Amino acid sequence: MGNLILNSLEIRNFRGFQDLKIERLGRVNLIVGKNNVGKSSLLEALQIYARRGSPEIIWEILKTRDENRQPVSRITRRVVKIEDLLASLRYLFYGRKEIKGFLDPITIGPINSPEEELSITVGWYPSRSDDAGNRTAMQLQLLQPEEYTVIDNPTPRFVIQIDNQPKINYPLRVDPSSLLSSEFEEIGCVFVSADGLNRDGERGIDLVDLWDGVALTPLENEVLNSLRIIAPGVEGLNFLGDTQSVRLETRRDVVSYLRRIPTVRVVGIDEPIPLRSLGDGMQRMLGIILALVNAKDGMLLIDEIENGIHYSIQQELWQLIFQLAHRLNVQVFATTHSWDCIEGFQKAAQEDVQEEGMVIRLSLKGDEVIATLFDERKLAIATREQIEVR
Amino acid sequence: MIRREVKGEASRNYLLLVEGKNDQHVIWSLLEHYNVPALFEVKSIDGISKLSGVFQDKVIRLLEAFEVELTTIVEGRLGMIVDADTDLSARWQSLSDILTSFGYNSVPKNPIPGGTIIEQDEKPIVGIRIMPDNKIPGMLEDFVSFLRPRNDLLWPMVEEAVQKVKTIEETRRFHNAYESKALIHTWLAWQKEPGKPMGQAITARYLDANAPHAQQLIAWIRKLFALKSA
Repeated sequence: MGNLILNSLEIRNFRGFQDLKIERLGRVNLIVGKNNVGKSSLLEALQIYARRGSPEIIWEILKTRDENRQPVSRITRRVVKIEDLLASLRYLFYGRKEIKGFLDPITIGPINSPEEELSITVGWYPSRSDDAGNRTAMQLQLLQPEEYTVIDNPTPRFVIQIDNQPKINYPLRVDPSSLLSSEFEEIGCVFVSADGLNRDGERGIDLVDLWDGVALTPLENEVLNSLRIIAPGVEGLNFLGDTQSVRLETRRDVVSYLRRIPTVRVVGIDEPIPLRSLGDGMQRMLGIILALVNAKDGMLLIDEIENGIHYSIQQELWQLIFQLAHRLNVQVFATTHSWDCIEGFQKAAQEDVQEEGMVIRLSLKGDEVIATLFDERKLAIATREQIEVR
Repeated sequence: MIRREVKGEASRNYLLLVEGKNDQHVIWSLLEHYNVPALFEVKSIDGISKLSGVFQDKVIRLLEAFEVELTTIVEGRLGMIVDADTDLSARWQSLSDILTSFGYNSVPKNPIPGGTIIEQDEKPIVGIRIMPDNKIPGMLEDFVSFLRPRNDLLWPMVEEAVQKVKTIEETRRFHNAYESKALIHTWLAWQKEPGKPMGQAITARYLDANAPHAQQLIAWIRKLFALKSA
């Protein structure tokens, strides 16, 4: 059994979590709980942890939830106001307090392991008249709380720290043209959103890229096997080109580009068939498995895993996830609303002797979000006695 | 037959676990008699299992379910009614071990005679009733036999008959441990409508729902679920 990236998890001061402690994690973790209790927030925290607090992932996350106030218009590129950025960032911090002065950091990491803990906050720095100051960020001196009132017009920046390594700061605004290379070593992490495919081509997974990562390798077979769970007749998969024409919103031009569509060969049928014509479940299955095989030695995060997957095959899906997670040393975190999904998970976890599966239920206790753990034994009892763990 | 439908959110966090359908029906009948509001669920272990044909000790299943319910309930109250069977202190020990492992640090050494209720900060309030009376070995059927009317003339004859059957090897079919079952069911067989199940025998007033043992049980349930007496 390989080591897990996270054996436990504590998240402080992030979204609805004042101080969420998950005492133990398994190789494959299923997160359950009522709507709005923070299942997706938990996946977000894991993404931020894996990406070492990169501003890029922070803005991506805010954008997915429509919480970003960066200019949306592609025509008028107005200057972003610092106040707007701060107003967006409030969503990330527990209690959505106004960001001014000292801000309690968000911390994410294993319990009682300060050396692995990631801390993120917004700190204030002396302003420079010259915007080039951004490039010499490392030399900027973080203001102490007592200096806030003394210095004129301080500038907020992200302050990131891991262990006791020196604090790193980044400008709040990410300039996509100057991709920040992270100062810290990132953990591989693939995220599959609830709708499977990425919106706006930004967040989530791109099937074609993931496919290119495994095509013509032994993992290709695993991908095919997963599709056969739904459609046993699938013999081959490829992404075939198809020319698409689109009219850009901002112009009158029509632009043509090549789109590659997942296409399968099915036994007894001479022509290639678009995967999607075999149903939504196929597309979802492909997304999940491609993400998994691309997450080797890292983390796989799946929001609402049951989407599009018929209850009768959820156990088989979990079996495959347990096997591949073991072989490829991936730690898996998925969320679900579905009892069938939990049952399928339980059976697969029980059957799999190599790795531990854990169900993590988030619920409210007063105003506080707490995590309740069901290991394989408790889960088996709950399933047997029909005890609702959702 | 009385069946209680529990409504609302409360049911998920207010729960009384019992060993079997008989326990459930006896409790339901008593709750009905005392007009106890249906604000908690009485959940029977044998009625819900997905196991089929697999033998598993019911008490083990009950204790395991108790443990998982204890994990599941966040801000609530969890009661359990379990038979003492032949060894009351061993049964209490296994319950005490579970509670201690969940961080309950004020579990009494022995069950409280009127029914145990344990409160612990930040944790569900837990109640335990050991059948028949928190004091002696036995089971639900012993508890039910305590509810027979005062000066009942049948009982001595029932005892005599059961003793007689016991002594002859050819006629004795039941294990010693089941003697109280043989007694109460023989008694029920001799009522106006012979062979009513125990719960229905309470509703039909063959059994006395006002007997001290029943009152004590209801008082414990009311206290556990914070219900005022009617």
